[in-house]
Amino acid sequence: MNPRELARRVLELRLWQHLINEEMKRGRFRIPIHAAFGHESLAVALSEVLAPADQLALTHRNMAYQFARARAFEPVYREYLLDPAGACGGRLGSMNLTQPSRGIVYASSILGNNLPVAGGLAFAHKLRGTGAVVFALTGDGAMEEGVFYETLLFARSHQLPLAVLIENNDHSLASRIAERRSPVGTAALAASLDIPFLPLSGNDPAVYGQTLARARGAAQSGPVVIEARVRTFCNHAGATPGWATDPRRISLSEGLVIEPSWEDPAYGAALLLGGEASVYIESLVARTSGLLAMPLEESCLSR
Amino acid sequence: MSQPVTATYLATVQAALARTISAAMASQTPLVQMGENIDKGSCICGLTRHLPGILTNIGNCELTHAGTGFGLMMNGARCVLYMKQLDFLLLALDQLANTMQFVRAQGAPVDGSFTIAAIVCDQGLQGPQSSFQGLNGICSTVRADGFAPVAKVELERIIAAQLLRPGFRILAFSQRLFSAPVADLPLLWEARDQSCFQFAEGRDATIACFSFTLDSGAELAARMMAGGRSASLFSLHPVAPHRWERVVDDAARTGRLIVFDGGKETLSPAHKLAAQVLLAAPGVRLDIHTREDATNDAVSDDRFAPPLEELALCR
Repeated sequence: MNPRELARRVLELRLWQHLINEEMKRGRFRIPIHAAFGHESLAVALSEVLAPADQLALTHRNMAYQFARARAFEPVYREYLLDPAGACGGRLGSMNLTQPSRGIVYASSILGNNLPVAGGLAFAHKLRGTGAVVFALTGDGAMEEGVFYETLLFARSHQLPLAVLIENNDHSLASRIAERRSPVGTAALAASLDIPFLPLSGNDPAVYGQTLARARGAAQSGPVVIEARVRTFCNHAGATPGWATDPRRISLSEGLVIEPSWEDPAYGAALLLGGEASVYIESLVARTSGLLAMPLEESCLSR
Repeated sequence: MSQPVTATYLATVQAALARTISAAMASQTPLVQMGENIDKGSCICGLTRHLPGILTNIGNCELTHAGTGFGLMMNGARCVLYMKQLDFLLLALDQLANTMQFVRAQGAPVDGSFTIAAIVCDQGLQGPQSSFQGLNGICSTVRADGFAPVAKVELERIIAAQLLRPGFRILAFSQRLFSAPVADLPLLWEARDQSCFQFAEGRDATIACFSFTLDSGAELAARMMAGGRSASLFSLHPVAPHRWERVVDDAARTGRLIVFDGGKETLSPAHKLAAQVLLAAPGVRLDIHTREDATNDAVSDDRFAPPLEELALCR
């Protein structure tokens, strides 16, 4: 896909996450919601790479993927409100939200829980010879669960079409990796199981897309592990800032870019689009804000 | 109530499994039968020997096996996971509870199926571990259907109806009974959801059996008959919601309820049944025999042994 179109989609996801975050600040939701500020490039790239029969098994922090696959704000927003008009009729909420018609068939709030389920989904594709690949999202916290290793072993033993995508944000609940465990060499771990490994970093959705397409191709004949370096800018759950002394500051009124660095996907996207970025965001806001009882300040559009 | 003995329990399980799976082979739905040593070595104590179709040997990661089964089911395949011991299923509780809950919350019926067929090690002393007998507890915790068939007709009908039925359930088989004569009891009535099988209707007592105690219940009924009295005999399985009206009505009629439960849960379904009976008929006399107090398995014989002679003589 055209890099500029990918950049537009990154900003689209960022804006929609901002809107959800603003609604969380207002206490509009009765369910736990985990925003994914910083995960947008990966979500956009993966969404582009998926073939029609491919499937996604997500984690609790799935907001970016939900928006990327829905290409719309309202179904996800209404699901978070537990509205019958939501993507799943208001039954599944946030952490377990699926959109089967768009390939998201499972999402789990339990660390590592989605991995073997994804293996089973992949097993069924293999039996039917569909050629489809199942992408299972996971993280550096879930890697600590035994089921991570179990699933890789099982998938490799049976050569399942499974791509395990690790979003390594060096963050699990409120702890960094160095604060809770020894490091894991994911590449070496995958190599020990004779599983191809592909690293991702830099937040360029075009580059991500190329790598994920390679991973998808390889996964058609057996499991693949991909590890993406991600920085999650928001709190573990709920709004950011979430309390009076919260050091994290995310506000729509301060613009879509949270941090002027390549760690922030919106930064790269805005740079690429240049002056078009603000025009594009304005058009998005015009389409979206009417859904919310939320006056959006003009300043947010131009930064 | 004396029963003709014509076959071993194990042979009957095998025959019923083979017949059910052969029928499934004729369909286009992918069928995955997996288990550790499923077609090697002992074939899970003989449970899977001579099964037709493709058998997939798998390693030692029960949590992953359970998740895989649910994934297969969600994508429309049929999966049977054979397991040597129900103990191993404890490793899979996250999948049983959380993934099962997700499946339920989807609201739509599933086309695929996932059945766990596990052996319960209830044959006696195993040491401090390896004798988990909590099918009722697992099914209650994860809100899944469970079946622990003992009589020949239960085995055949439950396996035929449940093994590949869309959705999820657990089938459990008693290792203690593998080498025992099969109980070929005449079937009087069967609940539509197979939660309850009735084998006899009597005047003097109602015998309700949970968790592989039907052989004890049948023996008690036979002893009572030899003493000139008769008893109704039921086999109950943990299918939620519990619909035990027929047992409750029968106990209200006979005035005496004898409940056996071979499970080791401290919260036995026997107590729930007794409460239902007392609510419906406060005057009913209760005899409840569970293993709630089985706290020292390591040094005990560890078998369910109700006082049958005493119960048969007691009026």
